Amino acid sequence: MTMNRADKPLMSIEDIAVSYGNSPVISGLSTVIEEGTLVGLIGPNGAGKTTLMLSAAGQFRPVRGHVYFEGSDVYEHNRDFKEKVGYVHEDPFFYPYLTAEDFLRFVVGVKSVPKGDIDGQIHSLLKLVDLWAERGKVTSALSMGMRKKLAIAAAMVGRPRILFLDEALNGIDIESTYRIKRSLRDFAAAGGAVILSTHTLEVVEKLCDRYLLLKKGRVIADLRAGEVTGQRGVGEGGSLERYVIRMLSDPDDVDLQ
Amino acid sequence: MNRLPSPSPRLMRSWLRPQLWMPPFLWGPPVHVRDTVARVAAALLIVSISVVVYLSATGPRLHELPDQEALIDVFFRIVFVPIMVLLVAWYIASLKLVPARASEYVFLNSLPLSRSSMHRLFLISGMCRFPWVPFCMSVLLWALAVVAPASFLIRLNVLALAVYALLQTAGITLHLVVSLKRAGGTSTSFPAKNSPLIQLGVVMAYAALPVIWILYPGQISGGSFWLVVGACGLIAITLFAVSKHVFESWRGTNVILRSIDMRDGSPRMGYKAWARVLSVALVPLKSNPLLIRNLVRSSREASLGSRFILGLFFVAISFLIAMNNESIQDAATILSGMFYLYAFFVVMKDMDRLGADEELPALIYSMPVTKGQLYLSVFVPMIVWLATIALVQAILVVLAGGGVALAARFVLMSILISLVFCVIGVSSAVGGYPNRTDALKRFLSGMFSLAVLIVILYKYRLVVMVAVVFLSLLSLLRSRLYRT
Repeated sequence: MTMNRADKPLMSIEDIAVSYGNSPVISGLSTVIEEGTLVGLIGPNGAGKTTLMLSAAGQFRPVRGHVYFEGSDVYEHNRDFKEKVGYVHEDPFFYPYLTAEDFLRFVVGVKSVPKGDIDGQIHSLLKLVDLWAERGKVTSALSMGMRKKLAIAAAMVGRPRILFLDEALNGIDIESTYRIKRSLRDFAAAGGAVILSTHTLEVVEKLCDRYLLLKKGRVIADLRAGEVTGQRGVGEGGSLERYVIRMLSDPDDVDLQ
Repeated sequence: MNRLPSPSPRLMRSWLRPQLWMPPFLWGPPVHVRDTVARVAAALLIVSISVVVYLSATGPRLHELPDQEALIDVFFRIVFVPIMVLLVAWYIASLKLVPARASEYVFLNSLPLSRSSMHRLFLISGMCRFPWVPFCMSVLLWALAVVAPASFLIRLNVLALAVYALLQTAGITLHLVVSLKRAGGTSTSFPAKNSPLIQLGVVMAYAALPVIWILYPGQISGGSFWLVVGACGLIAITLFAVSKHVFESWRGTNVILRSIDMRDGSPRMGYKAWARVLSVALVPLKSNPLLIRNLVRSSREASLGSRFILGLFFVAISFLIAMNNESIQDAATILSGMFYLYAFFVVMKDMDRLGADEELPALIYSMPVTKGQLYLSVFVPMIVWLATIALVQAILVVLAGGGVALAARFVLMSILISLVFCVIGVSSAVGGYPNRTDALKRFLSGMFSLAVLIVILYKYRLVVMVAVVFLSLLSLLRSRLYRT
């Protein structure tokens, strides 16, 4: 894993609070995402993972705090920021009457990709997610796994600087998962950043170099890949799973109020 | 803090992006193809508008009118019923599609689009969802060419198309308003869920305006035509502004994103108060949690609203068709035939509740219920619904001068037939589980066999039907339920 750019902040999230009506979901959360990192977002259901990703991706304005991308407030320059962001929702949407290729062309058109680069990008993205043979099928005829792959390809349109993947690798076949994971590593190595939310700890453990553990809208653990071993209650050679379970079940480590 | 580089002129002029103003079927092709198609389409549009104006709205053609009596006669005898069928199809299709609108918004919100672009795109894709509706309406209105001049029909079609676009915009705006209202409360239900009543209003208005112009053709000829066109333009501008404002407020509430987040947590299900009352009122069923749950669930779903509205549509259409006959006996016979067709489709649809995609099979393994209770939970709502429809039709027969005896015979026969359909439907669903196609094949072959038997033993049709019900019930009780 290339970590030579890891000390340069790409995104900084400063003391954000998000609420739905009167119910707070995230309160006082701050963190920094560096260039070249793959961040795994872990936490129980309702911890605020999706909300945090939506807020960081400029899609859900926090009631308090700021999100900066390369030093600029993402909500002040929302459209420009979104040109540099790729987002895969847990349940992605597609226009059912468009083919896989046409759907990518739609996203390409909206994302202002230079004309000369359009065909090349579509070709390489369809190859990357192994949908080249299915490019002529309408999206409603694609299987769930294929739709996920298409959503990943759509998120990578326009060569974004930062990718948000919400349970994006679920339901994808082994070979494609391998290829996507490899390309995510390459993406990070080229100076991008990936934020991946998932409940599958194996994926986080093998792919990510930093883990953010969320509980009740707050970060209760933020550590690098090598730092799990030796943590209290986990011991030498301990797994991420053991660490997460210990952190989530130990009331001393988190203010449950 | 630093600022991001200023947006390029290309980015600023979002209207230059074809995706943001072209119909969705032109979103896909490569840029050079799309641009060429767009140019040709724009040129064709301008030529078409000029031709339409010349042929229908200038000089003496603007004042051409049809023979009103002949027009009304042909319209109600030939065109009206297909229009009603078209509207029912549109209504069903629109109810099925609406939940995707919220997902579409979430997707668009992740793309670099300005607020006005997103609003425009949301409206365009909403309007283009049912292109077959204005097309079919136009074809049906052109069927009046036998009694109406072409210039009049062109004016009528142009206005029908304009009304379609306006009503679609109004419908989308009203849905957003309803979503906003729901977001103001504590409800955690999906905010963009369709309101069957709004859609009904849109559909009815779309049917009503052309009918008014056919009844009063003078309103779309001469200077009145341009007045109507002007009014449509003003309404369009106002609607666009209002929908933009509502869309902005809707975006601001974040309720759509809230619903995404709720998927991650435990769903909070709540029953409506009237549904709780209903479940308590059904005392004999109270001992069966599955039955109550299923009934409450059924009544809670929006599908009940759509079933209610579709039932009303059915009653209205079937009554209009039946009343074309002078003899009330003939009318009652036609009404019976249409009711059997309706019952057939209702049962076929309800068979899905015992299918693999529904929750009932899963519940069977987790709850202490018997087969009989399960069957009842499907039978009772089906029979009650069909009996209600039959009763309403019978009341209409009485009001039309059919007499109580005729109406009573109609109701009894309808309920018996419904019972037969329901029993065959449920036994087919159980026998074919989990294969829906197999279940449907069983149902269709069962219905066919019954029809053949009735034709052969017509004199003893009542006995045949009672025997079929009895034998099917017996086989149901003896059958092995799913994997048990």
